[in-house]
Amino acid sequence: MRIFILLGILLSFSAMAETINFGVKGMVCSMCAQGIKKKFKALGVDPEKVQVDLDKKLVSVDNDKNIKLTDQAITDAIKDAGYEVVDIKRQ
Amino acid sequence: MRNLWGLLLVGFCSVAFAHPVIYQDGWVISSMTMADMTDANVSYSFSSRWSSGINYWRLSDMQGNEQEWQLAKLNHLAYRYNGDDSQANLYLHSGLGRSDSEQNENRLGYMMGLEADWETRKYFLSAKYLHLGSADTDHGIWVGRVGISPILADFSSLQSWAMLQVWHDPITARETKITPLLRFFYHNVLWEMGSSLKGDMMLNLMVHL
Repeated sequence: MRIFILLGILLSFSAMAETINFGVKGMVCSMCAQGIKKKFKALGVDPEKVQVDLDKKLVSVDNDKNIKLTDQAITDAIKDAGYEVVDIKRQ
Repeated sequence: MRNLWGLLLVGFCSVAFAHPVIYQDGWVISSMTMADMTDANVSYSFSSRWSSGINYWRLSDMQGNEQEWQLAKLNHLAYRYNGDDSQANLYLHSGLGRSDSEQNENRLGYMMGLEADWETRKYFLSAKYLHLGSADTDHGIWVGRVGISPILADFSSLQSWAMLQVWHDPITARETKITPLLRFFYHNVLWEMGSSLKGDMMLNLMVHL
């Protein structure tokens, strides 16, 4: 019985963690895009959990701490970094 | 005392050239130095559209007479285009403070400027005009750059660019100064090294914090 409870708790935690992927327009310079990591750090996300792909113009945020990151919060953070968000997807 | 500001700034950041407004709450420490000029800058972006800071300029005329400006500066990103594979910007510069020369010390100094750039991951173009004014001499400086990045590196890898800078200031330069240079940046640090066709060395440094 205890095993089932523990398994249930673990499954519920894993269900809460999410990966957020979104496109960023204008992201052509890696030095300037450092601001994206800084903005997510200010929201409580570990910068190491923010992956930037300059080729695909994509940012991936591994939200393993289940921080509340609404679409609006993400859009504002990217705007403050100087860019535009397109197509936010959550997994 | 006259050179204190400049020495502090140059000593602190060494020797730059890039976006005057960065992400909100970001700091830029930069300087750009050649034999007849120094431009050193510390600024804070209080939004992604505005930054303010302090700026030191040193310019020498054809006779070797130096003039300095110590300015409180306000920069504005007037327009930004964020495209799928490119970005373009238009910046306005302004500054007010003091100007010193051997003839006149502690006089009103000011600066106004306009800067535009366009870049992709592979190509870079920029043009800048700065007007530095004082009781002594006014300078109108034109700076243009074109660059290409031969290797498209990952976000966290060393980025490298080959660039050509054209500098035209009718007062300080006997003729238009053309400077091939190499630009590198890694994470939040950028450095550039170049030499004009006449052998005038240039070393620039910029840090984003």
